[in-house]
Amino acid sequence: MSDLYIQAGSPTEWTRPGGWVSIPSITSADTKFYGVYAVYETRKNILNIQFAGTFNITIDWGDTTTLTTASTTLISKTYTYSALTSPILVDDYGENYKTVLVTITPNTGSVTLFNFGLPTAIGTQNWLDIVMSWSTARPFFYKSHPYLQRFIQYTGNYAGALASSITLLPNCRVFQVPLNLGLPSSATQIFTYLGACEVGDMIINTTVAITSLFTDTKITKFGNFTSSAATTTTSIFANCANLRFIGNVNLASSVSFGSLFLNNSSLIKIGTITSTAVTNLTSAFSQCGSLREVTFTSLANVVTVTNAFFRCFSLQKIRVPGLVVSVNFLDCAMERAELVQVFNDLGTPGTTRTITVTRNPGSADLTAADILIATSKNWIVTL
Amino acid sequence: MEDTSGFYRYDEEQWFWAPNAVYAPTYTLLKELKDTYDYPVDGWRWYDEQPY
Repeated sequence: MSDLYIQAGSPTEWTRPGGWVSIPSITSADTKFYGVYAVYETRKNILNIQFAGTFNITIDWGDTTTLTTASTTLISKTYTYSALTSPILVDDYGENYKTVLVTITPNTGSVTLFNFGLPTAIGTQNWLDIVMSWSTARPFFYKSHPYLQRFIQYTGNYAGALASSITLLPNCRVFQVPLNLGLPSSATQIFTYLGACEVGDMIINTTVAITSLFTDTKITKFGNFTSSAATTTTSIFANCANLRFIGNVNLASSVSFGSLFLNNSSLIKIGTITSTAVTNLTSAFSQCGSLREVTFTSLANVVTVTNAFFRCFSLQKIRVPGLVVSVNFLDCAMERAELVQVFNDLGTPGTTRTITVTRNPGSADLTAADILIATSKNWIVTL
Repeated sequence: MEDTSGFYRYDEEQWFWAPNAVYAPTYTLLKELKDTYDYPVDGWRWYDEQPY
C-alpha cells in the first residue's frame, strides 16, 4: 500500500485543449511515459531530460526520430518546428506552436528518476501534458514548468522525494500521483507552488514531520487528508488563498496544528478534524474569513489557542470538546444555539479560564441559563 | 471611530475584552454598572479606550 496517494478530485472538470496530440491509455500495470511537448515557431525548442538508475530505454521523440540509451547524463533534444506535421496551434499569448508526443519505453533495468528540473541546463520547459506509469520512478520538477496543465502518474516510487521535488507547476490543473513515500526525514514543501489543482484524498502513514506541505500553492479543493501517525503537522495548508473545500482531516497523533490553515481566506468548509493529541492551536485558522464551520473531535489536551480563530468573521459553528484553555471567538458569526453548543463542549479547567464571544450575532440572545453552562464549569464569559 | 470601551483584563499573556459584560462563576460585571465597581475586580478594569 502506498504511504501517500494523491488523486485529482475531479479531473473531468479540466478540459484538455483541442489540437494537442493524443495520449494512449495506460494503467498502473504498464511501464510507459507519454508526454506532450510544445514546439514553438519562434523559440528555441530544446527538451532536456535526465534519468537515474540502471536501465536501457527507448525514447520516441515524436518527430519520427528515436533514441535508445542507457545514459544517466543530460539528454538534449532540439526540435525543428517546420519539420513537424501536427496541427498549428496558438497559445494564450498569440504564439504559434505544434505538439509532439514523447514516448519512453523500457528495454531492460529500472529507471528511478525522470529529471525535468535541470536548473543549470539551457533548455525550454514546454511540457503540456504528462501521463506515465513507472513503478520504479518518480519525477523531479524543480525548474518551473509554466505550461504543464496535467501530470498523471499511475504508479511510481517516491522513496527519495525531497523538499521541492514537485514544485513550480504554477498552472497545473490535474495532478494525480501515487507516492510510495518512505519519506526521508520530512514531508516539507514537496508540493510548493502547485497550480490550481483539485487534489483528492491523501494518506501519509509514516511518522515524519509534515510542515508546509501545500503552503503557497493555488490548490482549490482537497479530499480527505489522513496523517494519523505524524506528530508535527504545522502550516500544511498555510496561505492557500484559493482553497475553498477540504474533507475530513485526521491528525490523530499530532500535537501541533500551528498555522495549519493560516490565511486561507477562501476556505469555506472543512470536514471533521481528528484532533485527539493536539496541544497547540496557535493561528490554526487565523484570518480564514470565509470559514463557516469547524468540528474537532477533542481539544482536551490543548494548552495554547492564541489567535486560533482570529478574524474568522464567517464562523457560524464550531465544536470544541474538552477545551480547558482560554479562547477567543470575537467577531465570529455564531447564533445563540451555536454558542450554547460551544459552552456545552467546554471542559472544566482547574482554574478559571475565559471564553470571549463578544460581537457574535447570538451574543445578546444568551440567557442566564445559557451562560451558567459555562460559568458552572469554571469559565468566565465575556460579552 | 470604533468604540473600544469595555472591561479589560490582562491574563495568560493576552488581553481579554468585554465591551458589555463579564460573567464569572462568582461575580458579574455589567457595562451599565461600570461606575459602581471597586476595581480591579479579579483583574478586570473599565477603560474608555483600548488600553494597549
